[in-house]
Amino acid sequence: MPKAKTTITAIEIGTSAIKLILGEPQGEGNMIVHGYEEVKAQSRVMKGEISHVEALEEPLSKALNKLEEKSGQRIRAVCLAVTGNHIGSVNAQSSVPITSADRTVTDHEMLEVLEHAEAYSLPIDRRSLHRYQRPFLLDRLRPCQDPRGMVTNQLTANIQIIFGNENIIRTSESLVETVLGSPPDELAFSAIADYHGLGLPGACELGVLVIDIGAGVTEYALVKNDTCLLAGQVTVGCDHIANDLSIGLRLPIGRCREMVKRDIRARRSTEDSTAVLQVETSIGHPPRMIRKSAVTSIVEARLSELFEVVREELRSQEMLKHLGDRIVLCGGGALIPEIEELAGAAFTVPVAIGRPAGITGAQSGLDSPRMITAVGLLHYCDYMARLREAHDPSFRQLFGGEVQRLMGLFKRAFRI
Amino acid sequence: MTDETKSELSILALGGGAGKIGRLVADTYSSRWLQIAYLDTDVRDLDFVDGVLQVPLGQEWTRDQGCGDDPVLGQHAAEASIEAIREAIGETKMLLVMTCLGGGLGSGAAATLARLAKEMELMSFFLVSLPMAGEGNGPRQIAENALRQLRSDADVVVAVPNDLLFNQLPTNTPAGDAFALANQVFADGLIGLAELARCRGIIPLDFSSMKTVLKGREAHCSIGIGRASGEGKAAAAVEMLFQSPLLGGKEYVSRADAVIGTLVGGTDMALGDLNQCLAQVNEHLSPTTRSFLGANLVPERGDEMQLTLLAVHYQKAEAPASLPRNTRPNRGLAPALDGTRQFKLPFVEEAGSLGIFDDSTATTHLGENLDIPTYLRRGITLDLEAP
Repeated sequence: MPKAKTTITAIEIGTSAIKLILGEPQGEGNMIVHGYEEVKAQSRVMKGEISHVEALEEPLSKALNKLEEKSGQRIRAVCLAVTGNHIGSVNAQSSVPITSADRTVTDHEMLEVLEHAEAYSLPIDRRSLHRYQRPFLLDRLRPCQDPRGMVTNQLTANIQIIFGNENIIRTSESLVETVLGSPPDELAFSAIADYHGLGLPGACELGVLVIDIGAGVTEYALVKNDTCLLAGQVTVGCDHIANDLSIGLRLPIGRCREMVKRDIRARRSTEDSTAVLQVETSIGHPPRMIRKSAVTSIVEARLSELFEVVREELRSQEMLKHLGDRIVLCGGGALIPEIEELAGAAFTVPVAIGRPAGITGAQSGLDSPRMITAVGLLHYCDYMARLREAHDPSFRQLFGGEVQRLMGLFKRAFRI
Repeated sequence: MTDETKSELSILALGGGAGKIGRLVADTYSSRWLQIAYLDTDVRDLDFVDGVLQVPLGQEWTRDQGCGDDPVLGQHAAEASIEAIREAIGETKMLLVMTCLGGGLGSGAAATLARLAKEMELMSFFLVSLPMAGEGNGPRQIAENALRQLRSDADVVVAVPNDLLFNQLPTNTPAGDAFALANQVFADGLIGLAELARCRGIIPLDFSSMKTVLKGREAHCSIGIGRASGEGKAAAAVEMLFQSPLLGGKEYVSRADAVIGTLVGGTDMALGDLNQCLAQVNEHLSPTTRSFLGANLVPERGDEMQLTLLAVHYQKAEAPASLPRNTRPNRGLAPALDGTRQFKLPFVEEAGSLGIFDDSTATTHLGENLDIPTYLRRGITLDLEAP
């Protein structure tokens, strides 16, 4: 297990690229970056899932060696991002009746209901990645952060579990194990890593929705008071935009991927109807003149639908009411011009483009929404290490009885 | 009629089809207590509909033409003219929007109007017609996408499938007459439902009941009007109601999950007529149907009484969780096994190449394959090559 103040290496195996960052925690959530490396995934990852694991071993190994050389540091603790259409989340709920004469909740009842919720068993092929304790409910109605001393007939505990497919996660772990000799020390769902990479822990009293639009997958997490209320993914990303352009404009997919990076914008404007885009198709062929309105129509339709799907997921889980003062967009998709206006129209909440927070050092090239997940992995790993240090065995020996049980629950809840 | 009711309700007719209905409302009822505005991008259509407030939309986007079945263009046109729409709505407490889904303006701008109503803290009520199955998959897909979005933003959405026309009218009915009749039913229905705004008379009922029944629910509705005067008018109105071409017939109403009805008569409407009318409607309802019936007296009705009935059918047949790859969902009318009619039965048709996603696990959401380009599923026409 990583200890605080050791170097951490973040590994994000994405649909378009493998990104590596080596950093060293400086306390208080700050991180010195010693170096970073990026290599193309070259179609070995589809929709966030590894499709050709052996072909990834060499580029990953080379990239890690380069990173060690550039940074002058050895790879120690490793944190790996997990994403793909296998990721889901579920609310594990449990209730206990409060039967005492005065119907006041005691420590014992609070721990009992937490234990019951914690005992929720996922299917055997699913692995829990993160667990967040959501507010308790009194009489299944009134939310409450600390129910002790409150009067109620029934106490309900809610634990949000983010999980993934065991075999798919194991494939990613074994890739890292093959290359480095040991499996990753930490795993984090990309949207949770984004939340840490944006410096949001401790700064989201109102609900914040983080949406990461990557090449293959769009991940989202709704976080309020440092508790993830809902997380999930839509297996649609910038590759879908490129694919739509390729089919609609009859252009090679490679050319369309380039267009996504520099020629498109998210919303149509009145000038689009007359503006023309000159597109080089292949050597020896004359360039094609394509109306910008056609390009933007394709992009706008896809991105509008993506935001509608995320909004619908929030609505169906009755989470829209928790959407507070902002949405933060991350990932390569956040670089598409005017995407914040499109997202703002879909959610009617102010939208900002995210930037990595809490890093110093060799950060040239890191100040981009594309790098938030990788930076977030460093912060997440450091956060978990500090959490463990704060609850080490010598500290726990000072306490006994109920507090020990609470510690046990806490430990399991955060996978310590 | 009072000044109070005068400012209660604002009706917006959105798009060409709704404009015709708006004009019928204005012509038929000279509705002094209603404020009607007609919104369209096509100035030729605007010129055609007189007698109501005309609001041209997004001229810089459409250059005074229609939206060409492009909902995104419709949305932009509405957003560009949002201040003009706000002005047309004026000082009112409730917004009633009539539009036809499946085209560009109605499908694109409806959700924008719903969000505007929310922003203005107005209760929003949408009466929308859905395209007939024969109009093809494009309009149907556009309408279903628009409806899904509208349901999450509007307070109440009453979606009436135009296919109901075929259920009731004889097959030899001239097409022009059928559509004119449908327009008249929509116009009458619009007024009948608008009466909810001032139905605080002898049997109170308001839009909150409708919100209870329809808010956030996927439902198809049918709407019928019965109007009569003179002796035996109660029985005649009920008889006419069940013959309304967009109601679906007695049997269809009897299977409704909920019904909402308003009875409006002149100030001298007899208690016997009122009782007979409501009792005859109740006779045709199943015991499990939730019914909300209200009655009101308005002086301008004179001897005439009008019964408006909205039958609500919740959609129980959901699309399968996952569809075969390389397929896309479609909706159409198909007979159910028990011989009854069901309105959303998914079937699939072969789609073209999915490009780079041909060999990947399909991404589905609510039965739609998201790997198929969105512009194809939404029927957006691309103006590809520049001159």
